[in-house]
Amino acid sequence: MPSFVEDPAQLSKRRLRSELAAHSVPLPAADSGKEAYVELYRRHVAARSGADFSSDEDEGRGQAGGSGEEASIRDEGQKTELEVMDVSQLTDVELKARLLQYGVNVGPIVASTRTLYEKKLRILLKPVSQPPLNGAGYAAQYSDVEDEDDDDDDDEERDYGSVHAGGHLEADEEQDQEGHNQVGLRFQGDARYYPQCFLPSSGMLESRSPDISKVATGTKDLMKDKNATRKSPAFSPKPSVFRPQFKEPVSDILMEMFPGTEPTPTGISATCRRPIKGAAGRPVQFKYPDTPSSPGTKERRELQRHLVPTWIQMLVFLLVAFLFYLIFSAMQGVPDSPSAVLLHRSGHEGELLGDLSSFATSEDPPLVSGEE
Amino acid sequence: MLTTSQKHRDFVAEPMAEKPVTALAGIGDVLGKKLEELGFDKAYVVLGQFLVLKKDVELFTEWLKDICGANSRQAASCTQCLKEWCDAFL
Repeated sequence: MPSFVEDPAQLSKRRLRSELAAHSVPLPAADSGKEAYVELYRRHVAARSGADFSSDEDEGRGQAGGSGEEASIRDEGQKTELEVMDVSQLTDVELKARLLQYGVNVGPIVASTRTLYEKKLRILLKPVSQPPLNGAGYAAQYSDVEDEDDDDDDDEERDYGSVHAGGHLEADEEQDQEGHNQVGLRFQGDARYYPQCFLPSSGMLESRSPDISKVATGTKDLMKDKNATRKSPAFSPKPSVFRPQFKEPVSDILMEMFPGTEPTPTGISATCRRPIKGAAGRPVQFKYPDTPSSPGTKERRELQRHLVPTWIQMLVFLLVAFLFYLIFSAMQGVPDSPSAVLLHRSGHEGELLGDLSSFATSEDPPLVSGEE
Repeated sequence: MLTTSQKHRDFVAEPMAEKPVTALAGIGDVLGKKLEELGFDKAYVVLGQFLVLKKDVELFTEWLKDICGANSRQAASCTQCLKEWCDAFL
């Protein structure tokens, strides 16, 4: 990670150490003072950055593709580097506020915790300065292309912002005067739109806002060459020449995301979304797996619902049948033991009836006699 | 950490009271000595640092690695030990 710091002395010793290590500079003795680090830093890193700067800007662009990306990195890098530099100088309150912006659960910033939180903030700030990841790469390369095409409308929105995570939006906004962080589709002519699947055509690259001073110029030549072939599928014309670092990841990522897409002449390509369950093409079964599909299943389900009560019904039926059998057999006078009981009972009833009748007759004579 | 050491289990089983810092899981003699030199002579002082970092496992692991040169395994072990202790007693 290149750090373009005016005064390395502003960096902490640890930071200097990591910077030197990044530049493959042999570190001084562990107990050497910060001055040694600063000295080494100035000597090596500054020299290196000087070379980068020199090969910058106008003419060098075509041949030094690497420097191009360096420059673009520098743009974003400088801003974040400044921030990184300042992390050590933030007050406790500011440091805590910045960490809270990133959603970090920050505890008290005391002596023992301060370095840890500074380190954490640096890590959080880092992705913005490192274009190898998709987002900033997009920004840089689009910003480069901005200047190129004057004949086409300049007022193109950049929906690539939607592609990136929030962290990259800062880089976008630096370069983008129009400030579009909107997500969405825009179809503005043949080769100039961002389908939702983020497969921008090469023409799209030209439709950037006209900012991006240093970065853009060098790419002009290349872009003009590519204009003729603009209609060709996304990224094939521009890619690897001037922005290898950014282009490759861009196309790779797009291709990874949508490996099946074929380059189309207009650059338009729509990727089918995964079909919604229950929509056409997907049987309802998947959406409502519990719904019975055939009448047989329906019946089975109905039966199952009645399964439990069925046994009870059978029991009741058997009981009733048995009772009826007993009664019937009693009527028939079948000399079985159950019937014998019934006969016996009926005999008892006969006796009772006889008693009653005798009682009745005994009752009568007094009455009769009384009357006479 | 699916398996815990005996040291871990011993530490988490009871309040740490005045246990030395070497009683922490993952902290042996060498690391214990370094921590003591830095002023973390008792386990509760290390606990204090853990709490000041709001029991953030990541931050504490990093801190431990920075301060006494623990490797990832040792630091993770110690962090896990402290975290479980806090869950049990704090």
